[in-house]
Amino acid sequence: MTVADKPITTDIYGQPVEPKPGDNYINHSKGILSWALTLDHKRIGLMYLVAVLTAFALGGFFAIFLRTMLLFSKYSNVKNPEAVGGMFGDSIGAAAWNDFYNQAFTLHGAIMVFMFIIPAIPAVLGNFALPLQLGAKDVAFPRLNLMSFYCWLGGSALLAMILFGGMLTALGFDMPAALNGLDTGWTFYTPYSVETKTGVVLATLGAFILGFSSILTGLNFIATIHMLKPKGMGWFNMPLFLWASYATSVIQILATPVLAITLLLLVAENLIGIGVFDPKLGGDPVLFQHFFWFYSHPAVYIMILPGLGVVSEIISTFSRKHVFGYKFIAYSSVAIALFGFIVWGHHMFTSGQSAMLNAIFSLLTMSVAIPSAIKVFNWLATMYHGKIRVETPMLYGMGFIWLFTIGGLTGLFLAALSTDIYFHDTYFVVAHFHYVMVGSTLFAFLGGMYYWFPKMFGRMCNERWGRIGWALCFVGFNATFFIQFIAGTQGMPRRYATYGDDYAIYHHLSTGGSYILTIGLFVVLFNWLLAKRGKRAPANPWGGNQLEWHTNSPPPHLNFDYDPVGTDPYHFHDWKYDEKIDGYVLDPDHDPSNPTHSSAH
Amino acid sequence: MSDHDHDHDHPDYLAHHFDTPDQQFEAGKLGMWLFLVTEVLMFGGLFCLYALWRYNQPEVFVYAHGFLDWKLGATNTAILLASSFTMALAVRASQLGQKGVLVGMLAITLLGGFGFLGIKYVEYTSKFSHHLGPGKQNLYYPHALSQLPQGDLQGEPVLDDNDNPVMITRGMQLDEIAFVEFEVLALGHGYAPERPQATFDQYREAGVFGRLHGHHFEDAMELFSDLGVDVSGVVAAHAAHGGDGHGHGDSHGNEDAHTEEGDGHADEESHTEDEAHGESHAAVAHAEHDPAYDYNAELARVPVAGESASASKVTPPPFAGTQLVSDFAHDADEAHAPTVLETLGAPDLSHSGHYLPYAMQPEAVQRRVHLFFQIYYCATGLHAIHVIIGMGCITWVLAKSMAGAFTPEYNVPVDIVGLYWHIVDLIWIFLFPLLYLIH
Repeated sequence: MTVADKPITTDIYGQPVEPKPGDNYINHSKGILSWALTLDHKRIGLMYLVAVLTAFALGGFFAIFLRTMLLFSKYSNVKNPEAVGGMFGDSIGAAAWNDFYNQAFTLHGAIMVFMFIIPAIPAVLGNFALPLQLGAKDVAFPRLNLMSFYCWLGGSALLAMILFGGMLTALGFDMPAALNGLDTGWTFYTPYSVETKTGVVLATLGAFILGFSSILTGLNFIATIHMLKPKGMGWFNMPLFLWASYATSVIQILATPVLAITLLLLVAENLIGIGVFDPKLGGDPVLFQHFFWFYSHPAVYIMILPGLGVVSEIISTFSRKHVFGYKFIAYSSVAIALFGFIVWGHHMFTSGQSAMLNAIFSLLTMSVAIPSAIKVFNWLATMYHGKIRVETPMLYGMGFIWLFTIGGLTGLFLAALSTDIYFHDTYFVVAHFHYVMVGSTLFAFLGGMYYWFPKMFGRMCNERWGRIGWALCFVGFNATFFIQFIAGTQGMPRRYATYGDDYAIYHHLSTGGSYILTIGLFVVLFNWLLAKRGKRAPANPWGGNQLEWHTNSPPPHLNFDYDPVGTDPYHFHDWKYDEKIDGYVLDPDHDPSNPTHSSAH
Repeated sequence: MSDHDHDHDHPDYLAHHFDTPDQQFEAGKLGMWLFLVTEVLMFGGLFCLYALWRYNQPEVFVYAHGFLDWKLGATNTAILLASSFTMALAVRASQLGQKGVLVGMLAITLLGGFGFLGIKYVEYTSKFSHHLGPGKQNLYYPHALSQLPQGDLQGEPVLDDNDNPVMITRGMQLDEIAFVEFEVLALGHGYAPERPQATFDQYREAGVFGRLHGHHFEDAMELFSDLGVDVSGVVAAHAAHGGDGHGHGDSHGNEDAHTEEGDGHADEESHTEDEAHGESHAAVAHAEHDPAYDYNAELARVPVAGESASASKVTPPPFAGTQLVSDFAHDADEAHAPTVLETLGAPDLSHSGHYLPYAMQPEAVQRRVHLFFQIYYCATGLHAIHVIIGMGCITWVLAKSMAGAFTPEYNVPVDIVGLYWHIVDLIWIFLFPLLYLIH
């Protein structure tokens, strides 16, 4: 802690750097406008960070809200359909209770999916780290990057309007139907999304605009990776996070436009009644499901693939060992992206599609297990005989492997036709995708944040509280969702506002777990906020050899003081641990990334 | 941009994060191509919808595409192709640094966009005037109309003796369809109706001939007599009623005649209400058809005096001013009467110069005809939005090129706007045959 008192940081050679005003991207220029109109990918990444964390807080609020509703939902619907038990007594009818619940899980899902998980890792960590890992000064299209952020804001504003409209309605205000919350589930299935009297049109328009944000980010990343690779970096010595981002971007480009046209058709269906999804008018509601899942299944891989990339970086760096099976991990990212496009029908096993289609989609779905398993085995092989440093990012990385494996293996139950018919629309499905979306993606996001936090802000997080926060999240998460697998196998259907007495124990334990998870997440948040007064970060606290560790923390406005040269990102041996600064340093005369071998200090 | 002040070998147009103009140019083009991929996939959803619908009900597409005017579509195709060519010339001119040619070519391209939209406007307007709009506005939208009160020209609901609104019946909707169908397909686009005698009878009973005016009546009679139908009864009845104010011998009949009671009653004697509708639609409208409905009385009652001579070939009542709203839940499972098809056999799709009248289409087809128009409006509407965006981009490039912003070294914007314009063109090249040229 003695270092923290001195206002100095160190460069990659361990030499002290006197912070001067304007020498890093955070204090390069001042004022609200210098942020709002910035074209700097790092600043846009930080703005995205604040934005998606706000969305996460909103979505999390609804998660806790609905878990709390389930805690108090003690009556049995079967025995006494009108009664509402718990603390609310008779003050609220069963119908209102159910409406609240429908709105809560819909808003939870829509906000988390469209506003948080899809942009979280690409737009925050991707925006910040991707150009740095390429040794580039910025992404290929900085203006589009900023536009992408404002598309996110615009789309989110529409969703937020509906959300607050729904809240006001709940409080007794008269709201127009267009603003009256949303109760279709995040999937907007027809025909209910045409019949409901809630804000489907604004919500779909919001999702449409958020889709633009996603497309622009993906387009930018692909062009950046193609065009801005530095000297010495080919496709096969790129950091694996770049491979994962590339694969993600391909999905964003190819899948999101299909969602766009689907949502436009849904808006047209709602506003003027074109009937293409309405069987009474010759249309087909199952076609909506096909269109929707043609996007939304690949979108599941938009959510998880960047997380896989983050974890590849973390596992290798903290094992102090070259990543095992580089090409297999790289290709498996691309394979997951491509397989993602041919498995959408597994969401529709019970929708009445033909038995032949069901069988084909079931088989194809299981093929996704292959590239996923390749990644897991390669991470384990990377850790094997490594000198593992168990610090906060690595805890998240290892937690990720654990949770992703559970989430992935339970996916096989749902891919298999015979079991899926039984598990379909039960809590088993809920638990499965939360293990993948929250357990995996959220843990990868938090791990990535801890990993790049020193680079982003130039400060170290408190290690002890980092670990406590991780432990609370890990325990809380498993307590919340593992029990739901069991509830699902016992037949608890998802999206029900109430349950029979037999299921009470599962719901109570699950709700308890969700409170622990919430506390853990607040510990993480406060740990980040309090890092403002933490120890100054050295240029390379973890000893990674990816190019972002070859510049100061935080990086200068143009990222590097020299034009870096690509080297093997997983060759860690040139970096020596320096106790004085609690970080890794390079020998200035032996810096393969810097062609000038400059040691101006 | 102060960002690249430090780097004096950077030209102004080169962004700070690129090393060379080539790299910037390539990045811009790559980005644009990726964006075009998203455009293709977005329209791909619509093409997928189209393929599915057309595969499931080819008869609908064969029948309904006749309402589109392929000549206008072909003209638009030619205009877009030509504008794509001038756009390519503009890109070439920008690479060669020929400012004058660049500005000229961009201006011509922009004009092409205006021409395209102008023709689109003509097409859309004529369809709207026939109630062939998108969504529930479409005449073929099943049961949309029968839920609605009749409106007069001022949009006020028509009331019965007890001041209750008079509802539009399915029979009235079918009559209107018969009229629009005959007017557009046969008289407008020159298709011959299949099964002339049955078609003639159906049209007569639907009151189609009575609503034709001017030379259209003679054209219709000529058409059917050429097909071997005996039209003398209708002609005689028409002449008898026409004698009230004007003769149909006047080749371009006085438009004012529509306001007169006599017009439209040509076939009255063969058209007493209960029998007429009962037969013409078989029992199609058995549940919805109001036996008390008097079509000709309806024509007579609702004033059309304010109508300008050229405003519409369709006599507005009983649809004028009516908001089409439907209750989806209603009568979804309602049993529908057997159609004329069952007595006449399957439709013959082998020759394209003919159309099978709507009333003779199978019920499954009847319920889906509007889907063709929905896809038509979704696809061409979305395309038109792209045309407008493209024109905006061209205007921007035009302004910049007039200011002399483009040189042989720097012309990325012209190139990528050109790419965008080409994809807009290309999508139309697919839309045109798929929508206009169905056989």
